[in-house]
This record gives sequence, C-alpha cells and structure tokens, in this order.
Amino acid sequence: FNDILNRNRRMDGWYNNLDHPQWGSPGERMIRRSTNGYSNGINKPIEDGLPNPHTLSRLLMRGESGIPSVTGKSVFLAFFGQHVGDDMIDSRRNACPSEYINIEIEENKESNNHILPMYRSKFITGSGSSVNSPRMLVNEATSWLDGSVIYGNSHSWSEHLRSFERGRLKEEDGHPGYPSFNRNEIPLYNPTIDLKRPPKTRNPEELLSFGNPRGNENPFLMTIEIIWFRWHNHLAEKIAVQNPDWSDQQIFDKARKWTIATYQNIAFYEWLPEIIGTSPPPYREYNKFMLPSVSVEFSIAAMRLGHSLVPSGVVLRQPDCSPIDPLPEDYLASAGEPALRLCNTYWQLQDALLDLGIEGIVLGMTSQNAEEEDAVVVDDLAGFLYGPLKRTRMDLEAMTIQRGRDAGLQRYNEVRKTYDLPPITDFSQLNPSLPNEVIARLRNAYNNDTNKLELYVAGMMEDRSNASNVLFYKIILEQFQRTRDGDRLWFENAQNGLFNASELQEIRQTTMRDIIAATTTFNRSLFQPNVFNTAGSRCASITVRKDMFSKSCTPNTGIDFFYGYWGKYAGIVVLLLLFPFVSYFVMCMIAWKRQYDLAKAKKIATQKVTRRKSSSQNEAEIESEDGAVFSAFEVEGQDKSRRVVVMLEGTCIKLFSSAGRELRKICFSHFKKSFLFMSRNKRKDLIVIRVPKEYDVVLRFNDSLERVEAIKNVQEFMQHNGVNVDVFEMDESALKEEAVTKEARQALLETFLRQTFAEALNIDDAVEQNSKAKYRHKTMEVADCELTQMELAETMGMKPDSLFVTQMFQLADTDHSGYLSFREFADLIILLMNGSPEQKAKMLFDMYDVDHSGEINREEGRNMIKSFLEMAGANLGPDEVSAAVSTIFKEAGIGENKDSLTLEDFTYVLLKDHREAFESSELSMPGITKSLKKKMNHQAHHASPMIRRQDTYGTSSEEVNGTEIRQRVTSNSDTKEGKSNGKVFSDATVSHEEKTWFARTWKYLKRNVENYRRHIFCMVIFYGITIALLVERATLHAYGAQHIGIRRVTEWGIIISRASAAAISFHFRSILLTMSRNLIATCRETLLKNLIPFDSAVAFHKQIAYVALVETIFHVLGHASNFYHFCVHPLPVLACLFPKIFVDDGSDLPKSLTWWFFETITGLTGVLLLLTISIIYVFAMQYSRRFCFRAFWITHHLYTVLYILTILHGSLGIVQAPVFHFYLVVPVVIFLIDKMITISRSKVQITVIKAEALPSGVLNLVFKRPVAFDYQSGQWVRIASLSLGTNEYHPFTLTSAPHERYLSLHIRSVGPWTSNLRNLYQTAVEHQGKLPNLYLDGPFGEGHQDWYKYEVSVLVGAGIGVTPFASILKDIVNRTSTKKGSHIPCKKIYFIWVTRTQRHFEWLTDIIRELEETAGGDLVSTHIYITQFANKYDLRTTMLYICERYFQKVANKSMFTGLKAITHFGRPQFEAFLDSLQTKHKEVRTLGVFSCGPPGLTNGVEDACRNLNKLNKARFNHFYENF
Amino acid sequence: MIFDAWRTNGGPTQHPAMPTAVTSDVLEIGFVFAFCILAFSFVLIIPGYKGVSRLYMLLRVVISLFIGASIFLGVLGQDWESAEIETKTAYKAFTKTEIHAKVGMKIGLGSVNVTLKGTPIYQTVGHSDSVNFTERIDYNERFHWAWRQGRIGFGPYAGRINQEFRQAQYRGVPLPIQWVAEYFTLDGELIRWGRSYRTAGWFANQVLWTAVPVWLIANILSCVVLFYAGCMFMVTSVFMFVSLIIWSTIKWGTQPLSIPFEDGVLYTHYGSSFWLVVSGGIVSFLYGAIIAMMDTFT
Ligand SMILES: Cc1cc2nc3c(=O)[nH]c(=O)nc-3n(C[C@H](O)[C@H](O)[C@H](O)COP(=O)(O)OP(=O)(O)OC[C@H]3O[C@@H](n4cnc5c(N)ncnc54)[C@H](O)[C@@H]3O)c2cc1C
Ligand SMILES: NC(=O)C1=CN([C@@H]2O[C@H](COP(=O)(O)OP(=O)(O)OC[C@H]3O[C@@H](n4cnc5c(N)ncnc54)[C@H](OP(=O)(O)O)[C@@H]3O)[C@@H](O)[C@H]2O)C=CC1
Ligand code: HEM
Ligand code: HEM
Ligand SMILES: [Ca+2]
Ligand SMILES: [Ca+2]
Ligand code: NA
Ligand code: NA
Repeated sequence: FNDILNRNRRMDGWYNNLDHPQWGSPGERMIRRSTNGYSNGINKPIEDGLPNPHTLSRLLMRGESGIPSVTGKSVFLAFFGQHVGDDMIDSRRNACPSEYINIEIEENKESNNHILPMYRSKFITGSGSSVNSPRMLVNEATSWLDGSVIYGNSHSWSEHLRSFERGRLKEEDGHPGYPSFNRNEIPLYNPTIDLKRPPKTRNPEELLSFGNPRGNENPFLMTIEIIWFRWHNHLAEKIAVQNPDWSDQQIFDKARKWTIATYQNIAFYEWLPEIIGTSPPPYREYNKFMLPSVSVEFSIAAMRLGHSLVPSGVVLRQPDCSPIDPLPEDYLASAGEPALRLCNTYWQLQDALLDLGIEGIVLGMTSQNAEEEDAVVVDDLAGFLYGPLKRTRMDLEAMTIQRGRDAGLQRYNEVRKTYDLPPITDFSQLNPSLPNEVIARLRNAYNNDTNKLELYVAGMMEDRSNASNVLFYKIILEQFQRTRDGDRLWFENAQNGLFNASELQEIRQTTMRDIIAATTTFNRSLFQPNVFNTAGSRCASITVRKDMFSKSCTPNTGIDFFYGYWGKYAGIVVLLLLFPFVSYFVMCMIAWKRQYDLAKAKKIATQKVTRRKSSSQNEAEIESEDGAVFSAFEVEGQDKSRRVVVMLEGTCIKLFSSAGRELRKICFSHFKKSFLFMSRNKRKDLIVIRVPKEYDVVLRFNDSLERVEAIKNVQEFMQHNGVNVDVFEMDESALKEEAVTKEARQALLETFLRQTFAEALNIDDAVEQNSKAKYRHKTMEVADCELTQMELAETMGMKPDSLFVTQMFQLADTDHSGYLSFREFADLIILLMNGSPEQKAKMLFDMYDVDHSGEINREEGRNMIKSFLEMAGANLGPDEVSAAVSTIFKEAGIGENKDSLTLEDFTYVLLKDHREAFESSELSMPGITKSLKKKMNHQAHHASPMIRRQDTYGTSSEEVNGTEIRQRVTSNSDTKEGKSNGKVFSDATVSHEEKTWFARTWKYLKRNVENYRRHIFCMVIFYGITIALLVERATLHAYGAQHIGIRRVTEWGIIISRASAAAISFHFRSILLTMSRNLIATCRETLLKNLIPFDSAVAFHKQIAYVALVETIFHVLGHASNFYHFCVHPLPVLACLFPKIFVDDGSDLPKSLTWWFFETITGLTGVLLLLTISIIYVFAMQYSRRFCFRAFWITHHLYTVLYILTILHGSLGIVQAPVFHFYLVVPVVIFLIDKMITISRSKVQITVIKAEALPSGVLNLVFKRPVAFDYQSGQWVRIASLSLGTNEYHPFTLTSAPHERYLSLHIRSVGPWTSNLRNLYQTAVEHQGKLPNLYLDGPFGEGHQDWYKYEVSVLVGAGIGVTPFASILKDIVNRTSTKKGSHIPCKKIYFIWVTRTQRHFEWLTDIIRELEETAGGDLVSTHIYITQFANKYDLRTTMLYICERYFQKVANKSMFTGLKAITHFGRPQFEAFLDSLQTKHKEVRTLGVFSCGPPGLTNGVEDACRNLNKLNKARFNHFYENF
Repeated sequence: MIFDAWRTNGGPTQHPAMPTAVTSDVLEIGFVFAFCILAFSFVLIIPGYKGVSRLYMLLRVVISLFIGASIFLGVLGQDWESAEIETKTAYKAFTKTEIHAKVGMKIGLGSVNVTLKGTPIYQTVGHSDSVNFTERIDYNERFHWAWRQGRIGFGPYAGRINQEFRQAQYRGVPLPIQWVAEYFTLDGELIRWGRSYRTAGWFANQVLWTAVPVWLIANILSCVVLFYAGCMFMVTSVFMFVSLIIWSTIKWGTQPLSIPFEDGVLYTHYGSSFWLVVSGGIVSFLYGAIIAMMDTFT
C-alpha cells in the first residue's frame, strides 16, 4: 500500500474543486450573503448618522465581567473558536494604499490620545471601483476547515514546520512536544510589544513556529495549537511504528490526513453544536457546486461573538484541580497572581509554556466557565487589546464595529431578512432580557431607528434563548455547512477514498478529550467527555473576574515615531549644507595657497630686478645724485593691481614691471603742487600720489614699514624737484573713493575720445543728446581731461617713445604743456580726418621737421622713414633707409648736393603719386554726401578755434585752395581708374541708437533673436523636453500613481522630487553630449550646424549644469520632506508603498531617519552625490577656474563618480524602476567612443617658439608645425596646455597660412582658461623662462577653400568670424605672389571686415598690413566696417588707419605699396556692394562670396546674393560659416 | 499517390502534434552561434597575417571572443545556480499515484526554470481509481522575477513571479513544479527567496551588462592604444567579478535554499553560467594585465 493518500489536499487549498481550482484558496474574495451596506453602494464606509464606534462599545459592550456562561461553555470553547476562526478567516492585512478609518475617542477629544488608529482591510483589487462591483474583502486563509492553522497556508510554509523525519513536525530541541522557535524565520506576524524606548522589533526567534501566522497571539491559543501539533506527531509516531518501511513523506501525509479528519470532526460535530446551541444537519454528500468562500457576515460579525466568551484570565490548575496560585515567575506580568491575565500575556510566554508545560492551562481552560455569551466583553479585549505603537491599547469592540462599516456590512434587519428571519421593529424585541437602561442607550444611539441597527452590535445583544431565532447562529451554521459540503476532501466524503468505513468510525469517535489525553501528561479522567462545556468537569468551576488581579493591564502608551529625531534631522540638514561650504572653503584655501606661492615667486623675481635696477642706478648716480628705488603694487582698479618697481629719478617717477619694462613715467617738471594721501586705518599700506591731469599713482606696500620708507623717499624727491606736497591722512575706504585709478581714468578717457571724435566728425548728435544728461558730470571732467604722451601711444598701440608718437604729440601739444587738452586733440583728429592733402602734408612736414628749421634734412628724413618702419613693425638696415631717403630726395628733384626738403618739395613728393590714395582713403561718413560733408567741414572750421590755429600749419584756411587741389586730384584718379568701369559701392548704413527704451530693447531683442536663432531653437527643444518630463512625472505622481499611494503620504514631496529627478536624469545625460568634442567637431561641419550651434557646446554645458543644480536642490528638498513623512508612518503603510524594501511583519515600527539617509543605498548615495556635486560645482566656479585651474580639472573628473553614484542611487527602485541608466546609456557610449578617439590621437608635445602678449589681451602663440600637419587656411585646431591640464582643449583658428613654417594662433583672453594661458606665457616671457609646451589637435573645419577658383571673390568676416580670414588672406598673398599664382584664376579679392570695434581683433590689422605690404596689396581690397562706432569707438585702430593711409604713402614703393583698406562706420550694404561689383567686373560671370560671422550677417549676405542672382547678371555663389 | 501525399482519403493533411518541453534557450543558442560565427570569420582571415603575428592575432581574437561570450552568456544564461534530484513525487491533484521523476531547477539572473522529467518519461498515471493514462512527463516551466517585487500576495500589483505562479496554478502545472516555484513567491522574515534572487539577479545583471560596453571599448582600444586596452580588459573583469560577488552574497538570512522532496532535497549549487563568468573574468584580468604590462615594458 504504497500510494500517497492525502497529498491532494494541498496546503494552499488549491485544486479542491476540480472546476474552480482556486476555490477556498488564500487570497480569494469573501462573499456577501446580503446586499452591501456601503453608504455609496460601492466602497464608502457607512458613517453618516451612525454613532461613534468607540462610544457604542463603551455604552453597550462594557459591563460587569465575571458572569459565567449560563450554558456552561468552557474557556476551551472560546479559544478553540479563535483557532477555528484563524483557520478559516484572515482579513487583517491592510488595504494598500493605506486608507485610514481612525476611530475618534470622544471623551478624550481634548487630549493627545484621542484616536484609535485603524486602516481599511485589504480588498479585491478592482472591486469597489465602479457601481456594479462593490468593494469586497480578501480572505488570506483557506476557507476550508483544513488545519491550515496547524500546517500553514502554503507548501513552503509547511515544509518549514517539518522535521522530515518519521513524518513529524519539527520540535524544539530539548523540548519535545513543542514546536521549534522560529529560527528558520517563517513570516509570522510579529508585533512590537516591549514598551522600551525606543521600541525595537522583536527577534522572530522569540516566537514559536505555527501554521497560524498569529499563533503566538495569546498563551491559550498557543496551547490549543500545541495540542494539535502534538496530535500530528502522536499519529505520525503511531504510523511510523506500524509501517517501519514508510518514507517520511508517506508518514507525514497520513498523519496529516488523520489530524485534519479528527480536527474536522471535532470542530464540526463537537465544537460547533456547543457554540450555536443546535446540532448541524448530518453530512449528506459532497456538493461540487457549493462555494466555500467565507462570507463577510460570518467573518466580520457572527464569528466574532466569541469575543463575548473570552475571560480576563485563566486559572492554571494542577492535576488535583488546585489552582496554581500564585503563578510562578516564568509567567512574567501574571506572576504572583491567581490566573494568567489575558491583557498582560499578549504575544508573550512562549518560554514559560515550554518550561512549565501546557497541561495546567488546558485543565484550567476546560474546567473554567467562559464569560456569559452576551454583549459584554471583558476589558482585556474591549479596552486593553494590544495595539500598534501609536496606541498600545485598543478597543476590539469599537474596531469590530468599524470593521463592519469598512466591509460594508448590511444592517441587522436587512441581514435578518436575508436569513429568513423577521426583522425587528422595536429595540425591545432585540433581547427582552436586556435591562431597559441598555435598550434605552441602544435606542438612543441609533435614533430609535431599528433599520439603522448594525449587524455586529445587534448580533452581540441578541436573545440567545431561542437558538432558531438567533441571526448569528444562522450565519455561522450556514458558513460551516458550505465549508463542509463544498469540500471534496471532507473526511466523510466517501467518494474521495480517503477513509474506509471503519476508519471513519474511528475518526467520529475521536473527541477533543481523546486528543487532549493523548497529547498531555494529565490523566484522561481529569477531563470531562465534552471539554467544550464545563458540565461534568471534575474540577469545581472557578470564575475569574478582573478585580481578582492585583496588577491591572499595563496602561496605554503611544509613541511619536519622530520623537528624538528632530535633532538628527537638523544634524543631517546641517551636514548636507556643510558640503558646499566646506568645498568652498577648501577651494579658497587652494586658490589662496596658489596665489601665495605665485606671489612669492614673483617677489623673488622682483627683488632680482630691483637689484639689477639699483645697480644700474648706481651707474646713473654720477649724473643724478638722487634715485630711490622701491617695489610696491600699483592699484589699477577695483580689484586689479600689478607689481611694480618704482624709481624716483630726476624729475620723474618711473614705474617698471618686474621684468624691467617701463610702465609709466610721471614728470613733475611742470608742476609745483602735488598731494599725498595715506590710509590711516586697516593695514596702513596704501599711498596715493596725486598727479595733475593724470591718474594717480596708487601704491600698496607689503606693510606699513615699507610705506614709511617710501613716503620718505617720495617727499625727498618732491622737495628736490621743488614740488609743494600736501599730505593727507584718511580712511582707506575714503581713500579708495578719492583715488583716480587707471580704471577710473580709462573710463574717463573713453568718454574723452568719444566726444572728441563726435566733435571732430560732427556725428551722432542723437547719441550725444541721449547721453548728455547722463554724462553731464562726465563731460565736465572730460573738458578738464588731458592726454599724456603715454596714453596717446597706448591708444595708438605704439611705443610711447617712438618718434612718430613723440612728434605727433609735440605737434598737437600746441601750448607745450606736455599734455594734450581736449581741444588740441580734437583739432588733430579733425585735421587728420577732414583736412586737405596739403594740410596733411604740411602736418607731416612739421612733425618731422624736428628742429623747426622749415626744412627736412637728410637726418630728419632718415628718422622719418625709420619711424614709419617702426610703426609698420618692419626692419631695414641703415643703408636701405639712406637709400630710401635718397629716393625721396630724388623724387623731389633734389640732387645729392642739396640736403633738405622744403614744405613744397615735400608736398610735391607726397602728393605726386599718392594723391589718389589720399583721396580714396577718405573716411566714409555714413549718410553724409560729399558736399554736405564739405559744408560741415566748413562749419566745423568756423565753429572751432582750430581754424585759427590751422594757420600755424602754413596752409591757407581758405577752402578754395584745397578744393582745387582736390578736384584736380579727383579727376586724376578718375583717369587712373578709368580702365575699370565704375566704382565700388561701399557705403555703410548707420543705425542710430533708438530714442525710447522700448525701441532700444526691441531692437536689441530683434538682433539677438536674429543671431541666436539656433540657440533659441535648441533651447526651446531642450527645455521643452525637460518640461515634458517634469510634467509627466509630476502628473503621474499626483494623479496617475494613486494606486501606489505615496502621494497620500508625502503630498508635494514626491511630486517635486520625482519630477526633478527625471529632469536631473535628462540633464546629466545631455551634459555628456556637450563634451563629446570630436562628435561636435564633426557635426559642426555638417548640415546640422544650421540647427545646432555647436560652438556653444561649452556654454550649454554650463547652463545645463546650473539648471541641473537647481533641480537637484528641489530634488533633495523634496526627499528631505519625504523622508520625514516616511519616518512618521507605521510599517504597514510603508510596506504597502515600498514592497521592495519592507515587509509588514506586524512590528509597526517605521525605519529611522538615519536609516533612510545612511543605510539605504538610495539615501547614502544621495548624500554622497551631494558631496560630489558640491565639489564639482564649487570647483567649477569661475573664481576657482581662474585661480586653481588644476584643482578644477582634477575635481571635475568626479563626474565619473557622479554617474556611478547616480546609477546606484536609483538601483534599488524604491519609488519606481530605475531609469537613469536608460537615459545615460546612449550619451555614455557616444562620450566613450569620443574619448577613445581623443585618446587614440597620438599626443605630441609641441614646442612654442614665440609667445607675445599683444594689446587688448590678445596672446599670439607661434609654435612648431608637427610633421605631416597639413591644413588649409581657415581651419582651426584645438590646443591644450601642458601646464593647465592636458585634457582641456580649446578651439582656436589658425592665423598662420599653410605655406608658413610655423603655426600661429591669436588668442583673446575672455575667460579663465585663456587668461591663465596668457598669464602663463607672459610670466614665462618676462622671466625668460622656457615657454610651456602645447598639445595640438586638429586641424578641423573645412575652411573657405574655393576663393581662388573665382576671378573675383568677396570675403566677409564679422566679429570673431574674421579669424579664419587671417590665414586665408596670407594664403592668398602667398599663392598669388609665388609661381603657383599664375595658374589660379583669381584676379581680385574684396575683403570686408565687419566688427563692433576692432579692439578685440586688432591683431588682424597687423596681418592686413602685412598683406598690403606684400604683393597681395593689389589683389586685395579691404573694407573695414566698424558698427559700434558711436558707442564704443576705439582710437587705436582708427588712428592707425588714418596714419597709415596718410603717412605710409611717403615711403618708397618697394617698401609700402597700395594700402587700400577703407574704414566705414556702420553696417555694410551687401546688396549695393555686390551689385557695384557686377558693374565693375563686367566680364566676370560668376563671383564667389564667402562669409563667416553671426547668422544675421551671413543671412544678410545670402539674401543679397539671392536677390542679385534673380537679375540676369553675374552669379554670386555664396558660402558661409557661422560663428 | 502523389496527390495524396501526407493525406488520407483526400482529407486535409495531418501531422502528429509534437508536444515538447522547451529544453534550451533560443537566445542563448543564438549568442553562442553568433560568437562562433565571429570566431570562425576571424579564423578565416588569420592566414592573411604573417609569421608570429598570425599566432598573436589568433590568440587575441579567441581570447577576446571568449571573454565577450562569457559576459553575454552570463547575462542571458539560465544556469547561475542549479539543482536536480531524482525522486518519487506527487504529480497531479486528482490522483493518488506518485511518479518517478527528475525535478530540476535552474536559476538565472531574472528567472528560474523548473523542470520535471519522468524517469521513464512515459509513466502510467492514475486518474481516478479505475482510469489510468500513460502520460509523457517532461515539463519545463519558467518563472520570472525580473525585476518587480510588487506587493504581497498574487494580485495585479503583486510581484512578477507571484503572478506567473498564480497563472501556473490556473494552468494546473504539475505539483512538483508548483512547489518549487512557490518557494520564490513567499516573502517574509527569512523565507524570501524570490526577493533574494531578484535583488541579487538585478544587481548582478546591471553590473554584468556594464561589462559589455567596457569589453567593446577594450576591443576598440586594442586596435589603438594597447595599454588602455589592457586596463579596459581588467576593468571588464572587475565588473564580472563584482557581479559574481553580488550574486553570491545578496541573500536574506543564512539558510540555503533547499526544497525537500520525498527522496531528496533540492540543494542549489553554482551552475555553468556562473563558472563561465568566473573563467571569463579570470581570463580577462590576466589578458588585460599582460597586455598592459607588455605595452609599458616594451
Ligand atoms: C571654431 C572656433 C574657433 C575659435 N577661434 C578663436 C580664435 O582664433 N581666437 C580666439 O581668441 N578665440 C577663438 N575661439 C573662442 C575660444 O575658443 C574661447 O574663447 C575659449 O575657449 C574661451 O575659454 P575660457 O575658459 O577662457 O573662457 P570661458 O569663460 O570658459 O568661456 C567663454 C566662452 O567661450 C566658450 N568656451 C569655453 N571653453 C570652450 C571650449 N573648450 N571650446 C569651445 N568654446 C569654449 C564658452 O562657451 C563661452 O561662450 C574660437 C571658438 C571656436 C568654437
Ligand atoms: N555686447 C553685446 O551686445 C553683445 C556681445 N556679444 C559678444 O561679443 C562677442 C563676439 O561676438 P561676435 O562674434 O563679434 O559677433 P557680433 O554679434 O559682435 O557681430 C559681429 C559684427 O557683425 C555685425 N552684424 C551682425 N549681424 C549683422 C547683420 N545682420 N548684417 C550686417 N552686420 C551684422 C555686427 O554689427 P552690429 O554691431 O551692428 O550688430 C558686428 O559688427 C561674443 O563673445 C558675444 O558674446 C554678442 C552679441 C551682443
Ligand atoms: C540626500 C540627498 C538625496 C536623497 C535623500 C535622494 C533620494 C532619492 C530617492 C528616494 C529617489 C528615488 C529612488 C528610487 O526610486 O529608487 C531618488 C531618485 C533620484 N535621485 Fe536622489 N536623492 C538625493 C540626492 C540626489 C542628488 C544629489 C542627485 C543628483 C545627481 C539625485 C538624483 C536622483 C536621480 C537622477 C534619481 C532617479 C534615479 C533613477 O530613476 O534611476 N539625488 N533620490
Ligand atoms: C555636475 C555637473 C557637471 C558634470 C556632470 C560635468 C561633466 C563634464 C564632463 C564629462 C566634462 C569633460 C571632461 C573630460 O573631457 O575629461 C566636463 C568638462 C568641463 N566642464 Fe563640466 N560638468 C559639470 C558641471 C560643470 C560646471 C558647473 C561647469 C562650469 C561652470 C563646468 C565646466 C566645464 C568645463 C569648462 C569643462 C572643460 C571643457 C573642455 O574640456 O573643453 N562643468 N564636464
Ligand atoms: Ca597742451
Ligand atoms: Ca629741420
Ligand atoms: Na483554513
Ligand atoms: Na461576555
């Protein structure tokens, strides 16, 4: 007989019913006999108009306890009932998301302790969501009467209870007969009961392993479970002995089969009749169509009538019936008392049971009367039920009433009707035996409306005298019958073949008493045959009343989950806030240390220089006895200062750079008065020497001692020069205010120059009007302002001691004051601009007639030529200069014999060949016709004192003369240009500044939109996506993810933090793309460049980073708030929200704040992320990059850490499945490939040959050309500096031409890297150190390579877009001047340079000059358009042009040829310009136009070309690139 | 008759059904095949190299492909842990007969495969007392946990494997398979196998996938800068080791997963996928170290 018997009764109740395999299994829905009673018919707990459950409980269900059951029910019956209930029902899990149905304790309303916390029960997902399917609870036990409380609800659970030996259940070692402690940790319900502070979850091992998850709830229930446990093992042992060859499994199966059968028999035929007062009908047959599911009427109300039977405690008895009184120590809270008090033994006494045995309890339970079966429930349940940590003592009755409302139980009368009982019409009908007072209370509570009466309340108060009229009995019987009849494996079902008739007989005869007898050491005779009734008990019955106990139930306490966390919370916040501050501090320390080291290095260098100076001083001492030398810092402005060496020599104070270059020279020969200011507070290290007409010498010393020394020297110096010095002492701040620093002076000068030009050119009234008011104060200052020779030189970009500057200065300085006044300077400019050629020639003559002899001798001639050469940066030997002079003299018809030129000779020479140049190179005046201009000239002459002074130049102020000459010359030039038809139209349009603020802003906006079209496009798309992500997540968490329920715990927190997390993910992924430099370099050559401004990648990088920072802040704030919320919600709520990290084990205890922050991967990585981010951002600040660049570069590579942390951060998927890696994967792959391309490029160090700091912060680098470095003009490279982090590459356009031996770049300092680079090389040059090497990458870009394919090409460069043309122009010259040139069709090139002000690109002028000096001059015609003239005029370039145009003509052809660059003020008119070209170059059919600059400009050129191409004339092919 | 081919009496063509358990993973085989093709194609072009470099080339290709294959097969492999016993066992709910079968379990990163194979495959199984069938007992069921834990229970918001288990219950898969799968659905205290394997699998999977791009990069770099390539191969191996460590350490509690059957207990032990990743990791590390060293010292 080797076939398995009972394995088909599965632990989980499945496959009992063959058609509906799930019937009766855990997780199935309960059913409802009557209709639902929800107040909205679907899911809303009935509340309206119903009394408070707690009040009901208090009014109706409390009372005198200790009334024994009149029918003699035993306590054993009561707890057996709990056991059976647990077998069939488990609806105690919460609904998820949690829904609160807290019960208000009305009498405690004022106190803090006025709530019985309660949640709605778990219900079938989907039910209760619409009208036709009301909410229905879930039953998580098997509905079968199948001993699931003994074996567990699932296969794996049962296997954890087994010993796998001889078919037994596992016993505790050393305690045979007891289940083991829960060491293998099955998920028993494990509430936190110890009232220690802080409360701790109990170790699961303290509980006994049962099939019932709540088997440990009280010692009496445990006792009954232990009996069944032993019964199984008892049977197993018997079977094992009978069948020694059986396997464990076989024995187990058979023992279980018998256990369940006897259990079914006892529960149904012994226990049930005792409970309901009648015998159930006998078994007929298996009804396959009978649904066994538990009804809510049964589970939520009727079956709970057992509450009434439960006593306050159980007396433990010895075999001789004597009570164990007092109870021993092992019984803990009940020790020393006559009985085990229920309220003090919840979830306890497992150890005591094992040590003291269950026998005493069993005997006590079987011999003690249960409480009377009425509405009264003992305090141990109704007031002192164990509860959650928020409230450790609960009211079971109030909870049951509330649960009934939660389940939507129908009212008492309705249910009665369902069960074919007549409804009651008056409260008195409910139970005639109730005292009137109770009836009155009931009536009162339900407003005298019997139809409102609730099932549980009424059911508990029913009259039990007539069992056939008791609704609860009917409900119970009906349920048990269904459970029995629908059970295919019911022991009596003969069809299932489980038992034969004799076995059935044996089972039927096995009573509970037999089982107790078999499983306890007490003698069978001690127990009455029906242990469920005390009748026949040998022991006298005892009644246990609560007043028998000396100790009362431990009182209610409630903890605030956040108690003790406020400090920690604040601490964490402070810690997080500290990150950026500490990083900032560290960064500042590093920066400061670096600066300190640098300063020290410089100081040493300075000392060397000083020593050198003073030694040279010693030599000079023979001539001048005085000559103090000291070093200091000259304060140049707000936070600019430079280290200088001050030398007091003769009448002058000279400032030298540490490299020994003269920086400033102030001579006091003209002054008799000066002021000396000293700071008197703070460090006392500042002095200001006031110098009239110039900016002050503001010096800062290392300490006050040095200053004392210096002041002494200065005063001696002043005395020596007879200068009267007033000394003032003032506060440092006041002093700073007072001092006119270089910066202040420059601001003044700018206005000075602008106004000079405005007057000289008589333009821009609008602007002037506009700014008049604002500048009135300035204007007055300007009138006083005078220009030094040094400043003049600086504005012209020339050396201060060059002959040209000196002569020009002396010439203009008509009053010989040593300074140029406003007037003097304006006269000079007007002459230069508007004077006739003769006037200009005269001026030139005067300039170089150094000894004012009225003649220029050979020496002076030589000097003149030299001076021009100097200006042009050219160098000629003395012989060549002499030759040049001879040529000039010869030109003038002066032989070797005559040694000097008169003005006439000079003018003749000058104008003979170059008159037309003088003519055509006139400054074009926007909107001003020639005649008008003349008129204006006229007026200007009359209006200004210059006219008078003009006589001193020896030219008549009569216009006639000049005009005549001019006219003559004009016709002259006409014939010259005669061969080419027509003139090139190159007039500029000037747009005046708008009058109103609105118009100005509008114009500004328009221009920006025009130029930033692609930026705007990309921004809109990028931030559009960001917003979409934000909104998607926000709405998801606000509305979409309601079922998850996090929002209801955290409200805004989750919405903000998740939305920002999505945006962060998107931003942090995109930031990688902005750094995929090879990709960008490649893409910017494609059509994509029309959509995406690739050159702004770095700016975009920063922008993304900063926006992400804001998002991060929101994210962290959001989660800081969330974590707070998570800490104050009990575990069941959290377990529902976060199934991934919590399991509801009943302990109720939420995780601590510190756990969230430091013990979850998410929290900890979040904190670390904040640290990482703090470092990255702080070190990426402009300040940091300026002063500790390497630190920036090193810390910036924490981005890898950042990404890894972010992936880990989300990897737990607490809130949602992690997504960051999805965001990241594509950019990472691109970035990595990009990086590999970079790595794979072999890095060669390039030697820098020359580094020259040019004015306006431009650095010119010349470096070796690597072998096989082939490039085309117009292409760009990327360089990294070995000293500034070898990985940071910046793009620069090559300014060398392909034919040149070296490569060169012109780098303008705009930001940290470029400034650092400039500093680096400047320092190296100054200290004659080795020039740091470079890494070179490139070349990139197409360059404009087709220019030479056209006979006529137009090159248009605007703004920074002009850089490629430096190289292109050189290339042009080279190609045309070499043999190659003869093959290229290119005949003429127009170069149009559009710039706001040339200041930023002035180095280009050098290149153009170079170009014009060479053969290219003929080929290339240059037009310069300065568009921001009115506002930001910059003198140097204009001066240079004026000078070049007027004075370079003088030189020999071979040296200076065809300078044709023309400066216009305003924007070019492309259409007119190009149109004039068609006329001029009639024979040319196709012209090439190449433009490079802001999109607005290239678009303008494009439009012009398109318009012209419509006319059936020459074709313009336009190529462009945007910068 | 030719016109009657595979048909009888002019009826429609009929072929017997071939009920078979899925015994191997198509994707897995696909990957093996892909790597074999790759290796083969490289071997074909090897003769194009001269002398020693031919050997080097061969070695490089084989080693790198082995590493790649071990990663891919690790990620996709279903045999990180496995267990198999032969036992007597209950088979279905409506019968008393037991069967003899091999019960097996193969655990991958995202799922578990449970197999039941009769010994012999065809056995006579009682249906009711009087009716017997000869049944073909050969089952292979896969249950996934990738990567959702879900709420407790078996409802719509429950974890993936719980839902699949419930579906299997409805389909009525053989009891031993249900018993095995059920172990992964329970979740409380220390019975949290589903959770353990899901978490371990999830992190191991993530880390191992990360090794894929690193390995690709290593390969690209080995045509460019050998030193970096070496480093990358070592990084690859680090990711592989980390995934192994994760897999073998993330477990709730200490009890080993053991599923008792009548004649034995299913104890898991590391399987082929695990050992493949171990060997791939070792090879990758050594290979990387050698390359890097060779590049620095030559
Ligand atoms: C194709 C091209 C050619 C260029 N040619 C020249 C040239 O010939 N001469 C010249 O002086 N400047 C040139 N520039 C501009 C020059 O690259 C930037 O001025 C320089 O990189 C600024 O760096 P910074 O750290 O000093 O300034 P920051 O203050 O950091 O930046 C100033 C501006 O430069 C941009 N920038 C910063 N770093 C980079 C980078 N690595 N790559 C690209 N843009 C960056 C920023 O987005 C910002 O708009 C060129 C730029 C491009 C794109
Ligand atoms: N201060 C400011 O208002 C602005 C400053 N900048 C900064 O200036 C720096 C250099 O910019 P840059 O590359 O020189 O570009 P710019 O915007 O300065 O343009 C260069 C030249 O092109 C001219 N131009 C622009 N659009 C047209 C057009 N549609 N038709 C004819 N001429 C046109 C401009 O004239 P016009 O002067 O008349 O526009 C300007 O002279 C950048 O760093 C940028 O950040 C850029 C824009 C505005
Ligand atoms: C103490 C600080 C932080 C806390 C407490 C915190 C908390 C969290 C939490 C709870 C989540 C949800 C994780 C999940 O669903 O499993 C999350 C996600 C996220 N957090 Fe944070 N975070 C912090 C800092 C940061 C920082 C500084 C960043 C910026 C890089 C960041 C970026 C993200 C991102 C991108 C996600 C989404 C991850 C994904 O979906 O894969 N967090 N954060
Ligand atoms: C947390 C946010 C940030 C991330 C993830 C990030 C990431 C990166 C990455 C990946 C690189 C390329 C590094 C390399 O090539 O090795 C880079 C370079 C750079 N980042 Fe950031 N960055 C962040 C924030 C910032 C900020 C706030 C700034 C400055 C305001 C900044 C400025 C730069 C600069 C100037 C470079 C160098 C550009 C170049 O090499 O051409 N970054 N960043
Ligand atoms: Ca003067
Ligand atoms: Ca003279
Ligand atoms: Na049950
Ligand atoms: Na009672």
